[in-house]
Amino acid sequence: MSTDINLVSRIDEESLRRARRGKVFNLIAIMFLVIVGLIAFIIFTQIKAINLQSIRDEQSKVLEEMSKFQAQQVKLLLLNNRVENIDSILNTRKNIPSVVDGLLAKIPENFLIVELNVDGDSAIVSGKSTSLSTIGELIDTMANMARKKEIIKSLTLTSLAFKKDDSNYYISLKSDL
Amino acid sequence: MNEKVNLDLLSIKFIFDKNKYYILPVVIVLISVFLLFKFVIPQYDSLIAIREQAKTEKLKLNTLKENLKLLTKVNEEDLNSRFDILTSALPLDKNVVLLLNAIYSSAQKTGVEIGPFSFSLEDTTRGQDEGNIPVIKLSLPINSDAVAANDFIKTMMETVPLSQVDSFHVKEEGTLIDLGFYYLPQEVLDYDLTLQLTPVSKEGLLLIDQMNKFKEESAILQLPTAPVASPSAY
Repeated sequence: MSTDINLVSRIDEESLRRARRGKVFNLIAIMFLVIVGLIAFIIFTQIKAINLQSIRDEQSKVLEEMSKFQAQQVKLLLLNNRVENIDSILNTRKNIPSVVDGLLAKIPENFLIVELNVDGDSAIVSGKSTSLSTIGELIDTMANMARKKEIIKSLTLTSLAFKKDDSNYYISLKSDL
Repeated sequence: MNEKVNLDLLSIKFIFDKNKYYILPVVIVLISVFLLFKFVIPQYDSLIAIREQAKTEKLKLNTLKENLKLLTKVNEEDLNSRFDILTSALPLDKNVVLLLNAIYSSAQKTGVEIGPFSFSLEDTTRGQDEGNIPVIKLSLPINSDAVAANDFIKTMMETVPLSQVDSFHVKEEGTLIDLGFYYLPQEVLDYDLTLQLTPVSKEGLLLIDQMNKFKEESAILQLPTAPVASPSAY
């Protein structure tokens, strides 16, 4: 049996473990710092790689060349602008002649137009006839047109009278277009 | 409850000895985080902004190059003739000669007789439905029946400058037509050099052909020498 007593203290295992862990943390921290630095460097080089000035210089060159064609450019822009506006006019202007044509085609033979007023929204037909059946025919025809929404959308009888002086029936009809 | 913790020097030393290996890495990480937020992230934001700016400038440059390419290909004669046709249909100003020519050439074709009329060039109301294109309004008396007057307005609608019939009023003594002649001054156009130029579309070319036919139909006639028209203001 050994009777020697070891007076030298043994290395603290816990301290060793902490020192080792400290080294690992140091390494991680340095890597973190290096990564941040690397990212900053990459971004910096990317920014430097974009040369805005050269693009602007090229733009100026093209603009200078284009100045020779300035008159054509203005004309072409105006041309397209006018095409657009003319197209809009042709598509939106009221087609009054076709309304007048449509109404005149439906007027009975013995009916005399005293007044015909057509605008974009309504049409008024006033006239006279010696025959009541002609007046009835006109009302029937126009009522049919309104029912079928052919040219006119509605029909209102605004007046119907008989004048003894000339033995004529007078009628006035108003329609919405 | 107010509890006091007593830390003596030995305790502090003990805690320091126990954690001294972590102090340096923690400091390094904190510095890195500081650098990340203070410099790297703003730098990244500016990179994105510069890239966006470069993209916009490149697009502008491409547009300019395409415009230049288009302009070098444009036939100047065609452009001028198309421009003339369209400015006859929709004049740049209040062109009285074109307006009177349209009226009298239509009257001559349809055989109607135009009565005395007047109009004001000051009063140019804008059509609400027609994209606010200004018009010169006038009332035209016609000494003819409804059918002839209707033929006249049909012809007017296929004549340059373009016009619109606002109302058609037939009475026993004659017909009164309210007309509006369109015109569009140049300053209405927004002019920007970097605007994308486009050649005239197929539909546009068809429209120009149609306007050319209208123009040929309303070829300048000899205006009546008698003072039939009396514009009230010039």
